[in-house]
Amino acid sequence: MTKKFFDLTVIKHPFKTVFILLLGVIFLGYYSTKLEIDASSETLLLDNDKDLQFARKVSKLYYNPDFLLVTYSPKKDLLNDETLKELKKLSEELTQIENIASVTSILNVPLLESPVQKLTKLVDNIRTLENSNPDKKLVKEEFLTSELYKNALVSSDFKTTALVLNLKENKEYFEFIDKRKTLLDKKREHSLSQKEEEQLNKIQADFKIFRDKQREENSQTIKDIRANIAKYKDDASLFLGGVNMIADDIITFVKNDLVIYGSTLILLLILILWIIFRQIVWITLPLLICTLSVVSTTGALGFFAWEVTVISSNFIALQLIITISIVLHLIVRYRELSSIYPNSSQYKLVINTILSKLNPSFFAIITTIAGFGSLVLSGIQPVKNLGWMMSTGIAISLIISFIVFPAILILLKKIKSPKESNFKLNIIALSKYLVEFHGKKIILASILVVVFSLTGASKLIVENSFINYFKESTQIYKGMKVIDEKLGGTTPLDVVITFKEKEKEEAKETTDNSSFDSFEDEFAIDKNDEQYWFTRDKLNIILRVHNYLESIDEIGKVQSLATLLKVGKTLNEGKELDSFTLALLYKKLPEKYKKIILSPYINIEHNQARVTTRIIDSNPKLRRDELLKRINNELPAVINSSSVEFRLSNLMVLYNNMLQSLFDSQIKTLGFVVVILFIMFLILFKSFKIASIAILANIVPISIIFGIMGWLTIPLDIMTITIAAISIGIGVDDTIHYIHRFHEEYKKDHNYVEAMKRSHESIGYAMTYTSLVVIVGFSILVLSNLIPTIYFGLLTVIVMATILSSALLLLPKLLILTKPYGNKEPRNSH
Amino acid sequence: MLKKYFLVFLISATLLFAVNKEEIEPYMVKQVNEVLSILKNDQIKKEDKNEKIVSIMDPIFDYTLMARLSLGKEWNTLSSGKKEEFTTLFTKVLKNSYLHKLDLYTNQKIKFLGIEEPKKNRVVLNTVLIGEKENFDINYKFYQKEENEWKIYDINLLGVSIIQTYRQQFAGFLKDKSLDELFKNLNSKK
Repeated sequence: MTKKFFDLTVIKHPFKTVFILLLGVIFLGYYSTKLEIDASSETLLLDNDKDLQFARKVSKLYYNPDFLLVTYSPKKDLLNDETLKELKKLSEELTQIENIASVTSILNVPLLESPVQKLTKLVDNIRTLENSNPDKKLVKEEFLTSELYKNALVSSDFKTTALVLNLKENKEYFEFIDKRKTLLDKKREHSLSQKEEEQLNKIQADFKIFRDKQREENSQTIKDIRANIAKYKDDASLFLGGVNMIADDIITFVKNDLVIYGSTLILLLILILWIIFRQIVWITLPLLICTLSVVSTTGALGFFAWEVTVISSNFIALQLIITISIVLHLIVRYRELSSIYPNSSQYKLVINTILSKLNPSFFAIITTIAGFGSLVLSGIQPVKNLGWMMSTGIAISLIISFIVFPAILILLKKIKSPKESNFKLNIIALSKYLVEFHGKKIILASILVVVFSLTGASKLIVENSFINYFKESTQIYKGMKVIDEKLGGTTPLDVVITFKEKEKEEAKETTDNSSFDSFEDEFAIDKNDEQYWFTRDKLNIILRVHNYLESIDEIGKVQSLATLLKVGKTLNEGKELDSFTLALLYKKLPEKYKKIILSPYINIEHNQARVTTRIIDSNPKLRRDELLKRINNELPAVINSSSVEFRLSNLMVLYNNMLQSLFDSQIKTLGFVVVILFIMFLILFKSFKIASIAILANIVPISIIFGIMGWLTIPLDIMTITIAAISIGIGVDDTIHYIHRFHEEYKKDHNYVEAMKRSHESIGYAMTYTSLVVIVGFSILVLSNLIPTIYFGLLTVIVMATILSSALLLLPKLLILTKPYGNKEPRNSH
Repeated sequence: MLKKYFLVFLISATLLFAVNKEEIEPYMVKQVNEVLSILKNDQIKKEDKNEKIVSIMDPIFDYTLMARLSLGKEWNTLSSGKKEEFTTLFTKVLKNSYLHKLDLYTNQKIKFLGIEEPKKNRVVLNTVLIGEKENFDINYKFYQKEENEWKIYDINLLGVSIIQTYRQQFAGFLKDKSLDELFKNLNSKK
């Protein structure tokens, strides 16, 4: 039936078929222009994460502007007049940039201790470096010791200072998120009306436009800032850092990566194809198929609006590699048939190539799709997208390969291949020899691999640090390192403390209360007035939590209401600010300063306080999950009050949730892939024994990744965590093609060893070529600017090599050992 | 025995300073001006200043009521002995805090704005401290204790009530801790 289908379509009407296919590709090609790249922190968050909703709520309750940081390390002294003049010029220029609301620097922060002034005077007369002429010795002392500024605005060596660029508030973003959330919640409960459904679609579309616009604006702001700071690099060393910048730099790197991988890989493929076949047709045909596949897939991504993220940045490389491996199997088979049957017609050669490869290729692709498809199980949108993207891409590649290959070939004259393959590989001969004579050693080596992997896997850690995403040579790495080590840390972590109103049991009423009641009523009226919020019990708890967090090595700058209390104590002759003074301060403080020193840390309406910290991302000892667990375990004792609740929030928690869920889903994913593969092997080979051998021959080499990562302490992160699933998807092709061929060869003479030798001589080459392409292809990922991509490339190269070794050594050895086709008497194949 | 005499003396002394409604303002003008003149006087030592000021203001404050109000309904759970003890402790803490606040005084003047009667048995004397750049409202809240005896039960500074601050403070403290602990805490502060 398949034969009939090919006969009637591709073979009979090659022009028409290719024409129709091209129309499809052009249609998709149009959408490929709509392909988008997104690397915002949002793409890395879990769908439906309760902590995410909480973090969004928190950011609405507290004054919490987005900011970027410029670190400034002048050659001259930090407080030198010229330096200050330059700094002033720079901050004025930066304030001019469209998206920047204000710039906070050592020039305009209030000086409270240079010299120490009485509290009452302070409010009337806020002094700064800019508006007064303070004693610089005192100023230096204040910046280095003040709870407000030390390790945040200036480094402890007093060589670096930070300019905080406060970005304009973005209310629209939260409005979108809120509206979308309400409708999505309804949708989940299936209570969405037709009208609301339309509304949701509109919001989704508008939000996308809004985000695209924002991304551009953000990118422009960063460009402008960089252009500005570049002017000052003769007198100082300047870096730009901040969460928004991470996203922008990642996008730039991803774009570069797409171009670099795409072009370099194509050149490499041309080279490899030339080395292997030395015939123009075998270079142009695969490249044509690859191009059509990539264009169509990119179009499909644009069509479905699947955005490319850090994780899927290498999808073009993956797609090219997989497509070329399909085509390579077809070419090798065609050449093999044409050398065995030199007199057969082009039609016969083409149709037989297609028919003999359709089954194994189809299963190989289906299993690859299963490998990638398993990523859809993770709750993380970009990982899910990678799953969808690759599954779609591979399916497209299979269809295009099996249409274009025969259609073009049937139009060409028979291609005569050189009798001997130009490119012979010693490894085939070597592996034949090893399987035949050193089988035990192969089994022993496999056991050693498993032991290595298991011990390594037990050492695996799950970590994701942004600073380690980038090479040390990049600007962003340098900038983040300065901020991280000298200016208080990078990833934000908040502790939100909620003081519960506990209704105490009414005290026993006594008789003489009548006159007293009117007093009680009088005080009940204004008891919830904001100024009375500052009670000692609350302040003490905030202070304890603040000090506790400060005592943790991995935590950099801690800021909270306690910062104000500590500063206040200094200003108050060493006496603690009592709640009356704080109430007065609260009443008296101008709104402008309330916004800076109170609004980020307390929310009286919700009876909450927030302690903000920044995690030192570059600390090699940092184990995010452990740290969060530790804080969660230890804080109750620190707070020591049954009427106080606390919750950790902000990016640190969200990324950790994402990673932990990724780790969980990785176990699920791998389990799922192995089960699906096993079922597919059962269907394909119709033998439990063979399916088991096939699975074993895949699991052993794949496991090596975990061994290497564990032993070399390469952390499982959002990128490396997908390797196993992807490798199993790609690597399984070898197993399927080999077993398929081995069975064909076995049927000829019922001799396992001879079947092995013949399989190695034929399919062995195709497998080696494809693996070679994959290995060379993935090795170009080391050119990336993103460290996870480099790890991904290297680890995939290793696993591909071990999968090939397994398919050429362990798999045939197991087949020979277990004799899954029975133990029939060998017969002469001639 | 001595204690009894002392008590009698204290009561009579208080009666001596009994103020009726009409006299509140002139009386306070006199007292406050006296306090200000003490504060301005550089000849007097700080400790003596404090003592003098306390002796001027003491008779007009109803410390027992203030203590009771600051503790809220918890007051009713105390035995009479404990009530007395609490009042003594609270009075000391309050005076200390009040005297400490006086340190912030730097030559401002006080203007009397007259009295208000928010309800029966209550009178508020509004004053304003004239600062260099800004003025600060200080309101003294009186209630009628006896027929011709009005006493201060709270002071409102810039809209912040001293008693309310203490009420919130103690309520917060008692959320997790016992009254005994509160006593201990006040003892350490007095």
